[in-house]
Amino acid sequence: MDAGTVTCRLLFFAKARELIGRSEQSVQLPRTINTKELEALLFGELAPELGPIRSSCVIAVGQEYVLPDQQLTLSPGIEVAVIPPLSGG
Amino acid sequence: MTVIGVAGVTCGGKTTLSERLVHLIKAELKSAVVVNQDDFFLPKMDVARIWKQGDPSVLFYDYDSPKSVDAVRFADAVDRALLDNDIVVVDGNMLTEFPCIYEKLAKVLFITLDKETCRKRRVVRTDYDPADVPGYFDQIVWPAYQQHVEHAKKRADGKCVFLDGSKHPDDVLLQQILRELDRDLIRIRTDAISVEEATQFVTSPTNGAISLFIGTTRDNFRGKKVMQLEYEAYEEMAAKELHRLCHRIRAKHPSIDRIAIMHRLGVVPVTYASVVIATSSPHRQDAMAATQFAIDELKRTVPIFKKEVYEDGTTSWKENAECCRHSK
Repeated sequence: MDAGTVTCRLLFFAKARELIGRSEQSVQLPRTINTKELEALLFGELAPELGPIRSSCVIAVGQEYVLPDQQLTLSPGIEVAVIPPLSGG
Repeated sequence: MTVIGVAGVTCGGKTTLSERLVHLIKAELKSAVVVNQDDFFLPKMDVARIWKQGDPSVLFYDYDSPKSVDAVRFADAVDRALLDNDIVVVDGNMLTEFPCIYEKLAKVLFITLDKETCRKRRVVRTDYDPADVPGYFDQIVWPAYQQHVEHAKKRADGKCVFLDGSKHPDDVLLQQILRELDRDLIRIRTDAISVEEATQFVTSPTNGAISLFIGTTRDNFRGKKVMQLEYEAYEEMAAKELHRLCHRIRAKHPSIDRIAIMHRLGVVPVTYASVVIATSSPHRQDAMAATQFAIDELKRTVPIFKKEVYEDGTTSWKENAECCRHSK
């Protein structure tokens, strides 16, 4: 394993899960990354099926929403979730 | 937004008990942190010195007086920890001696020990700075503890629970104490929601108002007949977001006493409840405003998703109007 990467749990919910056909996968991600780079990786290489809903999704890392310009430090096993529009209630 | 104190005798197991509490709180998917009194001792030169009885060549630094602690900085640290946590555990042998700390504590677990057990444990400790000087225990430590325990026992507010430090902390007792402190009920499940349970949870004799919101499945959307709703959630994160929401409700409406938020997952047939929110307060305005705020914010921030299933077999994932992207 590349020393600069960590194994993360990539989670998909609702419409994202249906489009991609699975709820979870294991991925190697850079240990440090910003939100824009993470989104480019997720919607580009890792889950291109999500392209059509990209603009309506947000990302949560470690069960916290990330800010648009946040610098992130990923730890091994951390949950990175693709969260489509919320519709609870 | 609750503060629990772990106070009492030196070498009574305060640190172990504090860690145990944090473990039990986190097992309920809540956030907790320990703030330790010992991190706020004044610089050594500002700590009172006392002559050793019978030997004026020896000076003791009196670290067992509340005056040896920067209580203002200590209280600030507790307030800051409260911003990011559901529960803050404050650990320190003199908690009950600082008015600015004591007033924050919802409950104090006060650990007691007999003198000889305490002495035996203290002599093997090597982590004190400055290290114990012979005579310090008998002249300073033990008399100070006796004063603290006497003061704590005189308090008639029911906050202090006295625990025997020679025994292991009992999880069942700790869980019971935590439950009594617990003013929030968060539940995300596939079972039908009991409105009765929500209202019962928020009922208490000191409140004059309960405000209840029930969100139910409607049978139509833009002229299409809706057969049922199907909900799913990022469950762990949703629970965390709901706890954070309770936090924010209390910051906005400090008089809110109890909050129950229940959300159903899976299939919810027409007319059944998918979400129930109940809050209580002494007067109605706060409960009504808090319940409204709670449902608006739930829709905006909590990762729960619903799909409408129509009569013709088609489905559609919904999107809350309140849910703004990247607005957190």
